[in-house]
Amino acid sequence: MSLSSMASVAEAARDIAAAADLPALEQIRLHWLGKKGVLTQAMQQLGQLSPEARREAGQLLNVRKTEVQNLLQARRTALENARIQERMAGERVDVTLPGRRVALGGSHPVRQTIEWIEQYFSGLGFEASDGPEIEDDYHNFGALNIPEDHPARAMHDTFYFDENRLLRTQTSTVQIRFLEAHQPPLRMIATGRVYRRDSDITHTPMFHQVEGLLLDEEASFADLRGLLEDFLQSFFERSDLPVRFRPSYFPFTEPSAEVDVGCVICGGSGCRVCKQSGWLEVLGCGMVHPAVLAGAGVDGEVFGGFAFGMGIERLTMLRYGVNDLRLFFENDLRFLKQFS
Amino acid sequence: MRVSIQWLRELLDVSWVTADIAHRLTMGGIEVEAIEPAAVPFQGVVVGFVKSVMSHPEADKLRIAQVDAGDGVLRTIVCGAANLAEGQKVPLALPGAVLPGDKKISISELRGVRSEGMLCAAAELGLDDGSSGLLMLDADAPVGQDLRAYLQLEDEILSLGITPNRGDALSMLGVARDLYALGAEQLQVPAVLSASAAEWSQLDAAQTAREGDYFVGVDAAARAVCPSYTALWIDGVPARLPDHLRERLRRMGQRCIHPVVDLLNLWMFETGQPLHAFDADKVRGGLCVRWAQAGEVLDALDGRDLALEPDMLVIADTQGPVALAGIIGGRRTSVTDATRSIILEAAFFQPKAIQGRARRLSLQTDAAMRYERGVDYQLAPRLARGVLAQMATLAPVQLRSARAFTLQGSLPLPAEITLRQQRLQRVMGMPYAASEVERVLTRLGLQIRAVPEGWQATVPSHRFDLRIEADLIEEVGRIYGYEQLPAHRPRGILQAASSASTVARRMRDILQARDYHEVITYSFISQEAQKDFVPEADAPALLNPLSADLAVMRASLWPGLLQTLQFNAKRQQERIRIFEMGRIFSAEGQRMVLAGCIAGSADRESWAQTARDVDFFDLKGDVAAMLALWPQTSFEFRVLTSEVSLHPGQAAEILVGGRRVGMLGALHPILADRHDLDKTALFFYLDMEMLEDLDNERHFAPLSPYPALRRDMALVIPDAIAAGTVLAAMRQEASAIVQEIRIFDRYQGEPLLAGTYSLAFAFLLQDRERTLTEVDVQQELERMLTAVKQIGSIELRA
Repeated sequence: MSLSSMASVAEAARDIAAAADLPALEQIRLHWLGKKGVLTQAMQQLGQLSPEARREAGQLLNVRKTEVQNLLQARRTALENARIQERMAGERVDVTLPGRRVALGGSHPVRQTIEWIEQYFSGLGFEASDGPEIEDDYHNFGALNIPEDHPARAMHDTFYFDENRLLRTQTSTVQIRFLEAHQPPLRMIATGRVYRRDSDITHTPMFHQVEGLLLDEEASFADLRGLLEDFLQSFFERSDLPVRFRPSYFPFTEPSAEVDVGCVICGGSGCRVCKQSGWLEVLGCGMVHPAVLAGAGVDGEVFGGFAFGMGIERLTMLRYGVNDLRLFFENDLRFLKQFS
Repeated sequence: MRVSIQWLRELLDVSWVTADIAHRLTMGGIEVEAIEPAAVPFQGVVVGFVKSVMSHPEADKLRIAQVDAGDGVLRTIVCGAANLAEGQKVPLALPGAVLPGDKKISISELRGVRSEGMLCAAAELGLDDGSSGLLMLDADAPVGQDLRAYLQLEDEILSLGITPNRGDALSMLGVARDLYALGAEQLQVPAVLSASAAEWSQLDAAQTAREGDYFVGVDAAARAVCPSYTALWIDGVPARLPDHLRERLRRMGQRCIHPVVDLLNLWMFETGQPLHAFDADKVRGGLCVRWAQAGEVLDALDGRDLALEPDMLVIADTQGPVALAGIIGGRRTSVTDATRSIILEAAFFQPKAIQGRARRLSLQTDAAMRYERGVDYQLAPRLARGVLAQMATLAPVQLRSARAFTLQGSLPLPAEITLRQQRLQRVMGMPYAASEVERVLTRLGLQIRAVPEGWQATVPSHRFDLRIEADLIEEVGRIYGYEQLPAHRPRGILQAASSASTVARRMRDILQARDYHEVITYSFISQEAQKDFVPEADAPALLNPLSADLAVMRASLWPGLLQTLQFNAKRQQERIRIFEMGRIFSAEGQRMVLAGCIAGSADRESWAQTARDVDFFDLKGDVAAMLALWPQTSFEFRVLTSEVSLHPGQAAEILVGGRRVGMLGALHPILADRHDLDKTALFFYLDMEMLEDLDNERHFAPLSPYPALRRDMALVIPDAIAAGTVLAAMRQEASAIVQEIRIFDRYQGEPLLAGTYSLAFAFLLQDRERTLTEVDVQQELERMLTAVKQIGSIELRA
């Protein structure tokens, strides 16, 4: 009995090692361990033995059975691994081929600048606002201290619809709209399209501006300087960018300044873009004019503050080195894709 | 405005070099836009004296001059200038001279005659003053002197950008005054300006030109706006201005016109006071300052005939207007070479009587620019005296008559302004020492006296822009220097700003993630393009468009997108996906809209995908991806067959609760043809303002622990019934256990009957409270099927 079992284990080991695939291995398992398998039947015959012999033979059989099971399991793992190896050999891909990619579009460079600026000032508590593009004379001029026939009107060539309605020439109109709906203290930032009747290599009849306004009990020209210096250094990503305030004139601010930055193209040594001056004018600003405050019903003795405005296209051109303003409105995809 | 540094230094003692002057001006608020030499380089040119002229034996157009160059030898010069004559002093370029453009002069032979140099025209020396022929020099010009030294050409010219508030800076004197305030050593105001007002015989305010024997008058209705008018009737005019004055005029960028006009221009450039001269012999019956009458015309000096309006101030004689006051003179009475007597006008006109008129007449004149901004109202009578005195040095002149009109009460009052020291500090954000403030204001010509809160200042008559305290704050700030300004940070309440529309931003992000590029097109388009897309548009049209292509405000973003599409298609772009977010316009107002357009291949060409062109469902998928931002809203896509710009079989409007929030479809083939598009282009738009009003909040729903079941159902449907109709009927009938209904197949053709198609639906069912039974599922499907069958002859597919 025990001898035949020993012999059968050696035989089983040989069969298992010879099994070519998983079905063959299963046949071998059934032959040895199935309901009518050799070892199963041997177990069933144990009852015929004396209790002493039964215990000894039983132990032996269990050892043999475990041995066969282990052999089966090892062979199964080996066969399965071989099968996966074989499958993988057929699944090889050329990983150097391009991926199945959904290409990404992009936002317009002007929009990117607008969003950058809005986000910057939003972080400083400036509320985003907007006003209509078709404006009336009052909001575009009168309320901004530019009465009819004022020489400053010649600064803006205006598109008109009729005597009173026009396309806004500046986002400063939003200051007035905002003041009609809000009481100081306040901080506002507005971006949008503006229009001037002008078209040549450096002018397009439509462009974008951003306008900021801050009114409270203590804001000063020095605060404005600090705010804009931080902004410009951040926008042009140069913490040592020189920024200078130069006295200028806007009807709706006083004192007023134009703000120059050290030329970001040549670094200040003088080039075509900065007209050899080393400086680039990037924005206009000033303390809100008392007449504007009075017109908006704000007590200028209590509240004061500043406004600033800048051309988005110009900032974008300087930031990316774009050399032709008209590219922004041609919308050539080869141009736009450079900014996605 | 141009400034000659040489001239400036006559009005100002200043040790700064030109670059410093320019920097101070710029940083003081008068922007220096350019610094140029007064004359381009040349050398070897001297004052020559033409001793004799004879004709050239071999050439009709050439003559031979014997010219004295001051070194005792006469040189033979062959010259072709028509104005060459004996006794002239002219520039002589000697052999070895180098003229502008690196033109070298040497001894040469011209038609057999040896020429030892060249006589020069102004343009040949880069001194172009509009004259033709040889540059004529003064009779007393020292023969042989280097021309550059003689004309004092080593000078620099500043080009200034003067802001509209600074009328006072439109003069040499004004610029000198600013530099004085900025720290120059001493201002040298011309004596005639600081003299007391000249004592001209005053016009009786009751008189006008037509009364008595006065040759000039101011109409009663015009006196308030012309409170100072001085007229001198002068016999005799200079024949020529000396070289240094002509050269000075050239440096100001002004051509020589006539000695009298040139002289008056020089005074204007120096002081800012425009002056005018009439030919006295051409004035009929005396001059009168009055308002124009409707229908009157001025034969203006620019050659045009200007139709005048009743709010325009004129100088008129008995035959009508001879000048538009403060703006431009007339041809009939203009001075000419034949003029022997002039009437010199020096006047102050109120800015409000001049402003806007020139622009209305499409005029831009030096006089109007100054009067509009404000001219020193004390200058006129003084300057009349200055001009007369100067003319007397140039020619024998005789003052025949002089009349001045002064209405003191209508002259501007010197502004009195209080400047509070505390306010100054509050606005600027820095303290200023009292002594500094006083120094700045005094140097600017203000008279100040200390008051408890600061200073009381009286503004000089040349500063029209100083009216309120803020004006003085700006003056102190700019003269003291913005460079001194510290950089503080605003302090304030820490409060997060309410953010701009995040919906708009997310929609743009979705499109960009789907390979759309954002474009920005003009808000105005052509009338034709508008009609192609929105024939019934009532959007406003511009009164003064730049061109017919930019004439009306767009009622749709599609024309701009189509133009951009066409532009890119012409540049070999195979796959175009663009969008724009912008406003459209109508008579009622302006709305924010998002619109897009796709054309060309559905995917970027790739080894991994089969190439195909985009179709309606590509676009609809993109639109639906955006609409998924409103999960609670049901968007209905309704067939649209009559949209003028869209293919009648491939167009839909998007409705929410019956209101249109957008549209999409293929461009109408007729339009596509007209724009040379060979591939289908598809457009959509969404009304941002309506979408932003929709609720897009997310609400949590508990997850069901029970299994979900899927059941499929295929239906055969008549062509006339749209899939959306079927789907809508199912959705309406479905109970809460139907989580999702998907169309996963559509088929048409054998073995289905013609005129029908089949749709395969997948239903996902799940209950929150229990495990669904087969009975539940069957009941649900039966109910939906029954509902669908009520639409028309729809059957389960066998």
